[in-house]
Amino acid sequence: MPHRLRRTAAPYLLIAPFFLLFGTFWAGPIVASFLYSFTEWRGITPPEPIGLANYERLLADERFFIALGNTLWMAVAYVACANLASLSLALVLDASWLRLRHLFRTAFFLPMTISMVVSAVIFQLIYAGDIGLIAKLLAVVGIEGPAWLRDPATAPLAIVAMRVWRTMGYYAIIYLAGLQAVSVDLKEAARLDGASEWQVIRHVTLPALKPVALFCVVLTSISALEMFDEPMILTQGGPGDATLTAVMFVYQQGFQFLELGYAAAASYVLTLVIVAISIAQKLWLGEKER
Amino acid sequence: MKRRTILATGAAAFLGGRAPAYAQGRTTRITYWCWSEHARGAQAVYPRFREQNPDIEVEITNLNPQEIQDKILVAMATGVGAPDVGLIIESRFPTYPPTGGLLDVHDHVAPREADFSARLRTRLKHHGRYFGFPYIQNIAVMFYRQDMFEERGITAPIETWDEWVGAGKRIRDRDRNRYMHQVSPGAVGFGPLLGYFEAAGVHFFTEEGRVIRNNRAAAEVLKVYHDIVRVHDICLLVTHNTPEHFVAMRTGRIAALHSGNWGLDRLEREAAADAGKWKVQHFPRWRADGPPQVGNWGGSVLVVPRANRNHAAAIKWASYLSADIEAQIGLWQNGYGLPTSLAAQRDPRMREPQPFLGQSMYEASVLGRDVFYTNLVRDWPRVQIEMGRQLDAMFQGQKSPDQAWTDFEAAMVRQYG
Repeated sequence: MPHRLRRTAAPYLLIAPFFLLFGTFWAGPIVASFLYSFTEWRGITPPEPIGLANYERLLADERFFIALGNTLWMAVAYVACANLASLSLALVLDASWLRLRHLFRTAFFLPMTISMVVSAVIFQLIYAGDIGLIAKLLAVVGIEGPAWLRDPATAPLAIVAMRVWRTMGYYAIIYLAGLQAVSVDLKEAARLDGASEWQVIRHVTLPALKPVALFCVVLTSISALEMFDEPMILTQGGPGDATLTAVMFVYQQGFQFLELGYAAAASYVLTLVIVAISIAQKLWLGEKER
Repeated sequence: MKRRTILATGAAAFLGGRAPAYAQGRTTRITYWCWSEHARGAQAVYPRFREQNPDIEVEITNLNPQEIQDKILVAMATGVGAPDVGLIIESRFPTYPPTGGLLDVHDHVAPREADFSARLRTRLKHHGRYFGFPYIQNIAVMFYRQDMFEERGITAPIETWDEWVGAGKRIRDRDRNRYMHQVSPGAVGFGPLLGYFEAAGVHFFTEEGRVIRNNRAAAEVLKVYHDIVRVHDICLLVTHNTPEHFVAMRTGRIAALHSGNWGLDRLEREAAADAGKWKVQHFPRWRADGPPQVGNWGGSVLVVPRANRNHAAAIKWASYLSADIEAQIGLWQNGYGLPTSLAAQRDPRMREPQPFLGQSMYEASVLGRDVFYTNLVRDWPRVQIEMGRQLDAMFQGQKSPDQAWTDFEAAMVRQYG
């Protein structure tokens, strides 16, 4: 190969392995599943093209809309609670009066290192009817708690609470990193002007944290919209589909009912929803920043 | 020259080290996916299989039963990751042959089909060919705490369902923290509920898989299932296989346990301290003037996925578990799966008492009963999930049992016609 050609081709050859892997394991399956969404496919027998029938069926499928609705409202609850809790925790961890802050940071981050399945099993014991930890604690003060995972009103909240517990430390670390970038001089100046601690947080710290907040809100949103492990282990989507999420719906259609084309169509609709929400968040929070 | 000497020496050492293995012949290693009591049973009967087949090693993997069903389906669809032999819940078996992912085992099962029931001869076939090996079956039984029964002046076995409800009220009257037995809501409640349909002799699908419409008999069974919780208040509403369920067994919160015969394995593990206190009886007869008919808790089928290469070894293992009388008896003694082999059922060892119970489970709960099987549910996961939704709504008080059945029937008609 002529020297000049070698020099021109070299960078492309060096990055080629990445694109090969990317194409094979990421872009390829995405394109393939999009094509499968226009077929009826049971797995082993060849897929049969059926046009838009899967998407039409989705529009008429009550359970899909239940799953989508559950996912959206559990996502809103989770994003709000997780970001509030993480930010509050970060502010406490950043407080000058806090001792042993490294110990606390580690302790709050630890739940993130536990497998999601293990966390769900632990919370199954915590929430278990009248024998669970919460029930026992409430019984001490004479309160009869609900059947957390069997009541359609409390089951989704129980799952959101579990997820907040597990991820709070992780996002608190991100907020904590953001807090280090807030100008100390600005805060000091505000205090000298007579601002209370809450006013300093509200008018100096929080505005400075907007980029970090946007990052955390987008991350928590995407993670919440893909919620699967907790409802699958704790409630299997029940009671009465109260905790059925969009990803669970896709799993049921694809891996339990073996309707892979239909599952692919549902997954694409979910992807569009996630993309739309992410764009809306970016525009809204970006607009506020301007 | 020196390099050649080193290479030659290395090659000789390599071949010399390998020689004994080649001289002995290769061992085929196969994987077998099963769960809990079946893993225990397989471990117990495996040594004899190894003696008969020293060239086959079986790796027995204990997985969650629901996961196995899904994993095998996906593995068949993708062509990779399937075990050499898998255990499938019988009620879900019809989903598998149409995928084309199971090995046709007709030539290995047909010659011995006289040794298992006519029902299985139909259920394990697809287009007239066998795609699964009969393995074990489960009969719906009632385990009960003899001490709690005696305390309340209840004499077992309780023959009819009405008598059972009456006994339940005596249990509750004596201690409001105790219940007669458990009832499960949700999708996992569908399996136990089927036992009630079967005890009542009710189908809800025709043999061709069509929905039986305006099925008042089935609606009545669902009402009974509801009433024993919400009206008669004799049953503990607890989701099957949850911590609350196990604690209820262990602490005596339930005086009886509705289960399949495999439930003895669960009692031995969850309530080991109560050995000797638990007994077993048949599921009560639905009507006083009705036949001595009980339902079943399904059975299991051995399948060989087509994608793997070790077909010969897999077939030997599956055939051993399915047809060898010693293996079938061993599975009963160690995992409490009722043999599908009729010859094994006639073996006198079936009548031996189980140490935990101090009685023969086979004699007390199976013999003398007709086992009723509902017509095949073609698409078990979908039906299970839909019934689970209706059970949840019914027990939450959002629907009457009649409305729950009507809605379930309507959903099934939309799906299957």
